[in-house]
Amino acid sequence: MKFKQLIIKEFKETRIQGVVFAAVLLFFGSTSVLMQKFIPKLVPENLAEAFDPSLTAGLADFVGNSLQMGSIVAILITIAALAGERESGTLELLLAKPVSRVQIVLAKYFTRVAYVFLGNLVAALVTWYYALYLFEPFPIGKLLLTALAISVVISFVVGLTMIFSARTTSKISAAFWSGGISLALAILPTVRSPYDLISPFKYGEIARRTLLGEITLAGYMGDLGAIIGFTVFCLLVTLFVFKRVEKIT
Amino acid sequence: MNFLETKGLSKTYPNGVEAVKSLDLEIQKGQVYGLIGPNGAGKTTTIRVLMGIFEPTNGEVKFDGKQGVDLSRTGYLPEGANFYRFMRVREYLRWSCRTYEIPDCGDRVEDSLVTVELENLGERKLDELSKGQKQRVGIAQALVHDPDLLVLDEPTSGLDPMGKKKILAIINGLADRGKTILTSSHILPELSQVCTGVGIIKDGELVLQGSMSDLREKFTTSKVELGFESPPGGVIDRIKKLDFVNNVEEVGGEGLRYLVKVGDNERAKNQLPKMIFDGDGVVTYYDFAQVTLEDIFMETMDGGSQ
Repeated sequence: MKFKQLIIKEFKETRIQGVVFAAVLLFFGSTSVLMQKFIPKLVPENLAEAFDPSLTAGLADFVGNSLQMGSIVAILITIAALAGERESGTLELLLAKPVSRVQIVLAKYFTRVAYVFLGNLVAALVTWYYALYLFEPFPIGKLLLTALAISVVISFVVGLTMIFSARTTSKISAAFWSGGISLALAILPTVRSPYDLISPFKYGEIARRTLLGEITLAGYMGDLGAIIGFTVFCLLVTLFVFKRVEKIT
Repeated sequence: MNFLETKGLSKTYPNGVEAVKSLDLEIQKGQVYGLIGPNGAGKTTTIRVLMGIFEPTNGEVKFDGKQGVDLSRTGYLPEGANFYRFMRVREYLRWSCRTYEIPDCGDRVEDSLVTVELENLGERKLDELSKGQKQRVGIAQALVHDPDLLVLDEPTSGLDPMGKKKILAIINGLADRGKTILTSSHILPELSQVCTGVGIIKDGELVLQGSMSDLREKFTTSKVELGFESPPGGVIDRIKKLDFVNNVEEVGGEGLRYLVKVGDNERAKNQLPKMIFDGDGVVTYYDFAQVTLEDIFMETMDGGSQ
């Protein structure tokens, strides 16, 4: 019941951010297919010849855009999770309630992750509709599975940002650190081994290739375990930092 | 048995600052205990350690005979508390009540709103309230789960005189209902209106503790302020020689005003007036007053504790 109250409070507090998050995913994710179809009509005729609209390219853009924009907005909605409570001076009262710090951290994390999953699933449904309407029928299950895979990657970004939100009172500092590290981790898969093996963002590439039918997700369960492991590690570090840092205002 | 006590409680911050040093607090059930001390003395750190917000470096806290403060039986108002701006007063109190796993909070919310006289502002957004009203919401959220212990850190800080008066009246009302209250302040006249017990903290150390009545007895029992039209001659020397007089201080440097601190009220009341009024000087001012919390505090801070 205490945890439920924390979740309710978080949803009330972040509902506008949640809507913005879903809107961004919807716009940059689901319009990928739309843009693929209509860009040739929007650019001058001599340039239009360079475009060859295809559903495959649209779907690849959907994964890329969802991951990039989703990660950026996930950082923006997470930096205030704990740093915001400190900044606004509400953390002390929250800590004096009979709720544990684990419950506080998890309530904040799961609320934001709920937006991530919901936003991605809605974006996937709209993408499926555009694919059907503008190109050809596409298996909806595949798109939903990809949306889940994208959500798992962005949930890691949320976990990573929680660490810096727990560490600092400044939202800008939290955004700087989590953005920087996310960017570094996203670049790692483009580097040759051994670094590509340890990047959580590798799972984003797996999601893209699954959607394009090059591989099946079932063959990459180890990678799924790895990214969930990375996320759990981030949450454990967040808890450690949150318990240790005694700045409450 | 003490309702709340600490033994050897210490808190050293990671930067090495020893904010609280081996504190032994003793708070009785039903007592309004004032933790007083100058700014930076360690009052807020002590309270945060008691509330489990900070880990103590050493020592222990016992609440109703058990280890550690039971947060479900404690209400807390931090200094300068802020609340969730996106909530309304009633909504916030209901949420706060439910975090204590109380299923039916409706009546409790209304009761606490009545206690702090905010029943008409229940639907107001929290960020639309004045500072005084916010402070009363803070007390309401501390009360909403009907706790046995209330911890109020500087509850009148930054309020106007009317706001302060209201908060002190609420604290008095809660004390009448038998609540144990720990409150901190450096504004002594306010605390003396509500406290039945006092702990004086200086540089993180508890330098004095006891009930108000014990402390009044332990310290100068009362003081007499005297004013003369002209220097009074030998009467002051005769007063100084009385065995129940602790100290005679000249005030103002003109030899016309004196402060006499006495250790025995009854003998002072019987003997002093006659000696003063029968003396050589013309008395223009005479005031017999009980020792105040401020007197005790100042004596303790000056190193004059007994």
